[in-house]
Amino acid sequence: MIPFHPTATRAAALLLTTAACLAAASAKQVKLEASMAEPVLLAGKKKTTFLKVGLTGFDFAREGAERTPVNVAIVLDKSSSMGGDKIEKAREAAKMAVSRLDEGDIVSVVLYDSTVEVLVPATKVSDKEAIYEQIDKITAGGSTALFAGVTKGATEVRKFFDKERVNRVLLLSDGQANIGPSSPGALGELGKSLIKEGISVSTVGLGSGYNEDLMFKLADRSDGNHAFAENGKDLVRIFDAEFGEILSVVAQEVLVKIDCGEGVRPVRVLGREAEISGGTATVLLNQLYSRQEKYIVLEVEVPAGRADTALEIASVELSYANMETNTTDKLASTVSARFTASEEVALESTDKKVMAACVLQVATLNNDRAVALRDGGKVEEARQLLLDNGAWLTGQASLWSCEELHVYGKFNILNASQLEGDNWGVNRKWMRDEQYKNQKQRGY
Amino acid sequence: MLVIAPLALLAWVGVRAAKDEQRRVGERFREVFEGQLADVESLIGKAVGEVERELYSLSSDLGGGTEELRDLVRRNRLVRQVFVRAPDGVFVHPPAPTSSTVQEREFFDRTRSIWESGIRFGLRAGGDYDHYSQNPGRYTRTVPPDAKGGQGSAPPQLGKVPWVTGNAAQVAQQELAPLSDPVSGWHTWFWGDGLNLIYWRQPFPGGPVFGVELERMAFLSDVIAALPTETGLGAGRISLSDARGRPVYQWGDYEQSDGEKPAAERALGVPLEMWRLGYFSGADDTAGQLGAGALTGLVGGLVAAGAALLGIAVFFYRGHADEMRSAAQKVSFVNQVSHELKTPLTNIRMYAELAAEKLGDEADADAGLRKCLDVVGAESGRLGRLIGNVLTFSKRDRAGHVRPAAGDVDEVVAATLEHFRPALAKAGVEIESALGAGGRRSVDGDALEQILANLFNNVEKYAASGGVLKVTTRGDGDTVEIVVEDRGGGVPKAAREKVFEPFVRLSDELTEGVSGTGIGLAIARDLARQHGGDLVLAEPGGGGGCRFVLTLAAPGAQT
Repeated sequence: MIPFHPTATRAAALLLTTAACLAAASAKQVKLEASMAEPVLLAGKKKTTFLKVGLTGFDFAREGAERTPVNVAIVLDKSSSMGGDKIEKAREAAKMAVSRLDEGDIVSVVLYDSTVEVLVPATKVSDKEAIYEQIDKITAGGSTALFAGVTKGATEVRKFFDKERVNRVLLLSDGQANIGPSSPGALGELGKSLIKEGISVSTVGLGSGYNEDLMFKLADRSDGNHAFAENGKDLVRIFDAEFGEILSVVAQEVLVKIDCGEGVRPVRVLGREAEISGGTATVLLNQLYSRQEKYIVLEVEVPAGRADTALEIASVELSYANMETNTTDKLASTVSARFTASEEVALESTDKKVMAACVLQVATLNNDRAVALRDGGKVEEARQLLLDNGAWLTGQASLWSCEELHVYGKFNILNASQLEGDNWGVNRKWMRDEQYKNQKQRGY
Repeated sequence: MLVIAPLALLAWVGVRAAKDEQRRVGERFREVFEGQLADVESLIGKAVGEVERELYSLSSDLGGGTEELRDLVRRNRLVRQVFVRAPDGVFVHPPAPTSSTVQEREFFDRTRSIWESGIRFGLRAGGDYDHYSQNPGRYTRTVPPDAKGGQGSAPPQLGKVPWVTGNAAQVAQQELAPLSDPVSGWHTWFWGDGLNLIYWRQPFPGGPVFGVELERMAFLSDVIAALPTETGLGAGRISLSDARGRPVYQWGDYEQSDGEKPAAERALGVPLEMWRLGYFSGADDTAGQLGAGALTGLVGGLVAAGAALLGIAVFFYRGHADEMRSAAQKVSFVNQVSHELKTPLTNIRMYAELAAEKLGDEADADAGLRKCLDVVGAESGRLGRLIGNVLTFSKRDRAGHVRPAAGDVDEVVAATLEHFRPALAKAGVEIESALGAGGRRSVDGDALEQILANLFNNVEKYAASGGVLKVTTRGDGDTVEIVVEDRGGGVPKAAREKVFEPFVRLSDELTEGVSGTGIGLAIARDLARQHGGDLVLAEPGGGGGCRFVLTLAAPGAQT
């Protein structure tokens, strides 16, 4: 049985929403902000610029239920490379994660080496001690059947799959997958199919031996999180942060549809999977977390306009499953730009915060391109790109008064110095980690 | 000569026996492994069948509009891309490049080799197919002559609106109801780093073809999800490998070495016909050692005789052990299934009882219906006992299974007899009982019922010819004695202990046409012993048959 997005049940929920909205207009909703990086454009010239759609989660206010119940599979690598301190920290991290759950939640623990073992089948978190006892038994040994591990993790999640829960697989790996599909592309495809079911996979890479591209892609395509844990201590911290996010989900099945206005062409969405067809860009996010902004940056090509006229750039439609009210909420917004004859006016009207976000996305793609160059053996070109990127970021940071850009600029310059030698492996992992953080606005 | 000849003969017999044994054991292992692989293949077949069913129903429900098809790609985890191809070979979906998505254009890149090869997926020959291959990487959409608009106009609706081709004969054909056996199938091709799959279906002969490019990792994930994580069969390893022989998924404790040949192999069916299942195990070594032992026997006379005798002994022992193992496997599997069966069975019994109760309230209740419900109740009760047996057997090494509480032994005996009365009556067995255990005692009623059920069940199955089941109970201080007798064929004195071993059924003659797991008496004795007593098969009385004597420690209980 393949779960299908429940259009019918959602439609019923929608009716309820409409009624609920009439009764209690104060119900909490996601904040939708669509804005142009350059709301005023120079007249008479075709221009490529950015449109940002920001989505900010609300706080749970319902009494007695401060959060959405979760259904999470913890999938742990126990291949031989995990021996010693690593497996010990993994046990500690897993137990810490379980300790944050309570009776309304569901957890399962899946182990994989050459084969897969369902250590704790999906169960309500009512007897934590029994779960700890199982986790304490984990020892390391064998190869790495990562694909099967994720699959069986997802199978456990499916047992109690519920749209009103946060359905998540948390994957830990420290090594190269060597049994089953093992390419970043293949794991990306798996991620892409899981998000269609409403299951995200968060991936944590431990140490210097794992395949960061694979872990990145799997998380990216399923809209989970990806993070690099350099050592066992980081691992506990990251599990903690990840569970912090999982426990703060306020919206799921977040679908954003951006319809471009007459003559405006959507070029690409930076750093996120999107479907662009004709004048419409569609982006699916699996969830929003409370008080945290996720955003989408769409590059658009705006036709030349006459001075002192306005043009509708796009209308934005948002629909999402509200985890507090268990309804499907819909919001809409439009964004337009004005044209001016004055270059100065155009520049001054730039929305600094929006522009900074767009710059960060562009710089992150540059950073990604540098990794590809380095992978292709073009070390010098990669170095130059990173240095240029760093310098550009520093300039942009002061233009738009954004400290984050400044920090990322320094990071790029540091990257440029670590493209060769022993440091490259770990540096590459940090680069992917940071790319993920920027592109998906990871909260930690 | 007198000594050497028989010794040589013995040696020869020994070697033959050992060789036969080696071959037989090898074959036996292979059979078992092949059986396992066949089971696994049926699991895979089931998973593929489910995928196929889902895709089939998708293609039945679709209206065929571009947005609807795109929504399918967005929503369905199994669908990477869909296409709809008109009878003349051109694509209705994905739409022309000017209005298609990047993903849709990539689809044509991936599948170019298919379209260029001329495969038509059920389309009838004679369509103008060459449009595509003349423009590699692009394709031309011909616009139906009577449809308005140019390239990129809305495609005709499949299913909801009759297909418009300008060919009156074809239009007429489309308006017919779908065939009862529509054409559909799988197509596999290599692209990127592995196998890709297309499922296609042509709802009407000569009509458009609906195709789904599978999200292959989702498909593979579904297959893996359907497979177990343990073999449940000692040390062994089952491995599923792809067309290049790389393991995709494996399970079981045995760790095969690189390049090790599987002890048994099995190729999969469509659409995974390039994939194989392999069973790895150290079993071949076991068989090899047996053969080596016999060869030594050829060297020395007496040693040969010894070896021959040993060989024969091993022959019988192995044969027996093999059977035991195979039976144990059966029970281990049934045990797993039984756990799953318990809950639904309880529900069935509960609802059958509920229904019977309801019926009881109605004065004009249908007698036939009541009888039906009685049968449901009785049969689910029987199934419940069978499951109980298997579960008890699998737990028999664990202590503390028996939990005595205050109860009435005679009541339990009478109630159990009542359960069996209809079945025994049907088999022509009359019940005689003399119950005198007396008063309330500390006894585990469930365990007692299970023991008795196993004994009564045997009477029903094996001793119905005797026509009588006699039960006598007697209380004596802290013990009770329950005697269950029949007038059936009985058991030879020498085999009276053997019947309590698991998986033993006395003679094939006797049990022909009678099925059972062969663990009933073993369980009954275990339970009796756990209850501080015993169960023995005693010397029968005058009329022959079986006479089981059950003793239980059951001290009087204060109420």
